[in-house]
Amino acid sequence: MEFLSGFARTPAVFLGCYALGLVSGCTGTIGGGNGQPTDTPNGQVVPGGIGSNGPNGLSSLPTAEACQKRAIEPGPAPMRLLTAQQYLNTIHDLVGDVPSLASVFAGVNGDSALGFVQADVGQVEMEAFQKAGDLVGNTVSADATTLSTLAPCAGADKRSCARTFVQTFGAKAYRAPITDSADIERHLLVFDAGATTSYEQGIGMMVSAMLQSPRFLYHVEIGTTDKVADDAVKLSGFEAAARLSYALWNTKPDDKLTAAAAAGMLSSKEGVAAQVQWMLADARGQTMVRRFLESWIHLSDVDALVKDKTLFPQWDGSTLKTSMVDQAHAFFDDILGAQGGRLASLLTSTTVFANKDLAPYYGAATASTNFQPVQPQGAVATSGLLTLPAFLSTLAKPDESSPIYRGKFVREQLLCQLLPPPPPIVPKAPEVQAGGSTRDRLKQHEVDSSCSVCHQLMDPIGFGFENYDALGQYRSTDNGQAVDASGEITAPSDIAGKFNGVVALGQKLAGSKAVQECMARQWFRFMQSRFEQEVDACSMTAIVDKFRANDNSLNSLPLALIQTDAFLYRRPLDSKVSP
Amino acid sequence: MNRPPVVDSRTRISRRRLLRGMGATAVALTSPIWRPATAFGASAPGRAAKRFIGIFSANGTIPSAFFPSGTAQDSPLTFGRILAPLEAYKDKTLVLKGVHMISTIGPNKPGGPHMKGPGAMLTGGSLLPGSFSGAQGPAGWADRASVDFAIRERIGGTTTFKSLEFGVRTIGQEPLRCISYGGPSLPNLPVQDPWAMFTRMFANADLSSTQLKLLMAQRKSIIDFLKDDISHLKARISNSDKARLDAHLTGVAGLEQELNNAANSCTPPMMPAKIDPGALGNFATIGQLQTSLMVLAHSCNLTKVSTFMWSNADSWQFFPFCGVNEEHHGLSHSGDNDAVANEKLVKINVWHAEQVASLLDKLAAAPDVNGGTVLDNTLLLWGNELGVGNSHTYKDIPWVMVGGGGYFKTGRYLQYKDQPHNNLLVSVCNAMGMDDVKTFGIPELSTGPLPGLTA
Repeated sequence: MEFLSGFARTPAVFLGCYALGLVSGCTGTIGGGNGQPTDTPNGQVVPGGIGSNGPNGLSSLPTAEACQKRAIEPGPAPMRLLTAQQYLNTIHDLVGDVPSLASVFAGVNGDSALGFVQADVGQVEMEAFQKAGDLVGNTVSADATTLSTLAPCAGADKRSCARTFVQTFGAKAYRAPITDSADIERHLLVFDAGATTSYEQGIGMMVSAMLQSPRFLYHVEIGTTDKVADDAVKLSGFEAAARLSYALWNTKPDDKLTAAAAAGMLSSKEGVAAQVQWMLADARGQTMVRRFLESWIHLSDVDALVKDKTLFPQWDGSTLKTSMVDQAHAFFDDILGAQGGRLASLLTSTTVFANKDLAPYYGAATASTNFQPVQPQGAVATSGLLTLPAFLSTLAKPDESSPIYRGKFVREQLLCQLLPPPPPIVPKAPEVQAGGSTRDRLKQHEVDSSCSVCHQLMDPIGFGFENYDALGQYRSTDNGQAVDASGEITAPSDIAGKFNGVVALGQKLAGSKAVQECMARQWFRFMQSRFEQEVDACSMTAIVDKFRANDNSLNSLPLALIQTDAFLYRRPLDSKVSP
Repeated sequence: MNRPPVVDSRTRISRRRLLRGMGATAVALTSPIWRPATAFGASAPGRAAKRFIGIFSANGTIPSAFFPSGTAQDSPLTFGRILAPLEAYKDKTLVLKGVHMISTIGPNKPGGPHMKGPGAMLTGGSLLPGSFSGAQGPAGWADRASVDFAIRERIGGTTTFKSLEFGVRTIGQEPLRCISYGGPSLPNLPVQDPWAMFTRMFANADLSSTQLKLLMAQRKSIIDFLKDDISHLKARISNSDKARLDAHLTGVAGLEQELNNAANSCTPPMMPAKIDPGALGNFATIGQLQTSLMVLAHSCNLTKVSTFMWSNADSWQFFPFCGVNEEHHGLSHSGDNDAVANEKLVKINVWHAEQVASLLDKLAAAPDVNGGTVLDNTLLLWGNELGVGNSHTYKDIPWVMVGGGGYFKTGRYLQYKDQPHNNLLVSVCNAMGMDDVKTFGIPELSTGPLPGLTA
């Protein structure tokens, strides 16, 4: 059997107990509630966020009325690097296709486990920026068509042409106008060095230099002097445009949005909100909510999943992996489109899409490689995301299901509760008898109270998924025994109680206020690239209220977020707390 | 909750201090602050190492097969089964017991046990709070610079790279994948792909001297622009963001150093046809390739400081090439009385010792530009994230040191009574000629060098 834990999220839990913590360090108390996330150098915080997890698992957000009386509070907005995808998208928008650029950038600026924590740059990254900058610069200077578009030069005064290029290209690359003459002159020194060879060379070198500038590589925000509260200022129009475009498109602003910024249309809350509709309708915006959901469930991990070759010979070298990912795309498109984006649909939808690879999952048959709705046969139960094969395969081991991973997902990603860390030193692992069902083997840990104190938070939820094996295929028996899919959500939770099977779990989750609030939190984290903090309480209230007012439609989240203090403003440079 | 201690002001090697040292980069590269190790402090010439190599392997050891027998505090070295492959280097080796990674322990220290170890091994510090979650408990990166970084800032200024970080299949949650840090939240992640490392090491090897000269001139103009650009930007942004730009500026200085030392005296070796560095079954092959490149990096004087991670901490590697086709971390949790499992773990640890021996063979065969062999001038430190896998203990980390340029009295087995590994890191600095280093990592844990080590 081969085993590979290639994805950052999945812990190396090996039959449970010791890896998840026991005894003194693990009291069974779920974190996330003291409302005091801790700032670290890059503005990273301990997850857990605001409010307190009382016995019902709900946080205590202020009411909208209370927020009306509070001062605007944007929270911290530390400077971040473009992600690898943002880098590639932005280059594409600037100069078009650059062959093999992605390979130069492979492994650089990758999203972290949760996509939020960003280390400072290291030498390997710097070398990649240099190499990529040179590659783009050389591509531009070698291509007459691109060059004549970006840096046309008919006259004899080449340096004057280069000066124009600094301003036109620089404004796009830096997402801000370049007007300072000394600034322009600094760029032209690079041109001069290249122009001893040729005009093209000078332009290419400036492209490389500009793409290595922090003004290109980071989301640089200065803010304005226009105070909206003691500790909050408006963004400049160009900064607002960049926030909008990277949030909704994952790339730089286009000419239309830049023009809106230049015309002062983004200086008000209403002006910013007015951009959302057309931006989401644009091709770049249409997939953004889906991108959130796929990032949230780590869909891209499917590609690197290793499954046991003996038990699942169909896994390696077939199209099953790709089909699972495509099925997830189709599922999310259906939820967000035809089903109106409701959170309840995400968790309970019975519409299933399959092609020839996945039809057998549902007792159906088709020869088509395209995805079509199919009717599950027999006992095969479906409940939206919770029975999506890509989701279930990711949250499983190579050779068996994993009630731990699955229960943990529900606890951390759907209820937004943080499990306690394990103690520094664990007692000896309990002896576990081989054979029997996965459930039976995990249950043996319950006899050890030091194990069960934490596992009772996860395993009983995960047992509800036991009708689905390591590839997310429905089963009625596990290792010769009838599957027992009875489960329980233990307190703290607003949906605490027993349930039987994943359909019942889906119903419970769909009716949970905590899950609604958690989706709003996940959205905040995705869009703001940081965890919510106590100071974001009113931003969270605004999102949750708008989400609920729109029948908990995921499609309402972009606009809800964009109208929060956290999105619209930033702390001034001289803020008493960290900006 | 209090703000976490980012860096204690009393820490000798703090990021702030290092960055200050880096601040005036242009000056730094032309002024003699990059003193050769032997010229620094009070060490007599020939009694300090000129190169440092840090090695990491995962999931603890089997103490009964690792530590020599006997109870004497200081005894001549006789290897147990695990270290037997190092027999040819016994006279150059020190094995230490009783040196604990105390810096991982304490109330409210973030991270699970497998995460804490790699962050502490070379830093003598702890993990910051952060959002790397999973079963190992939420944590961030390590909270301070590591010893290899401190060394490279002292002796690494004249080579192409200040340091190079090698790894083989370092996967999983971020803090598991890194032992080298430039400061708090400043990981120097290892490069896992030997072909990518080769490209870095011999980037301009195929250029003619004219072409190289032109490239250097062009790159210099861009680097000058970047330094200028960054300083102007720095004046406009918030204080907390300035630290990020400082890190970026350090990176630009690194590019400048690569440029200034671009001429490479070595002819690049032929690389074999590419295979997947991430594949489970290629672990041994990729490891050997990386080992060869690391030796080359030193013998070509591309760097004086390197680290090498044999998989990430908490390693889930299988070891069919030594007859153990099972998953390392799972195995490491077997009970003390499980003789079958313990035998397998011994085999895995022996295999790692064989890899270290193979590295030593290559270092011993490579002439050093400073004279002698590369091994003659090298201090190698081999550590682990844990003492024993099944209890996650931070005590009795299986430390091995080889070489040290004559600074240590080697060929011995030393048993300490509860020494913090911070003191070991002080000894490492001292052996590199950094006599001014009196504490390392968390200062209140560090009382000075380990006693009784020096020649």
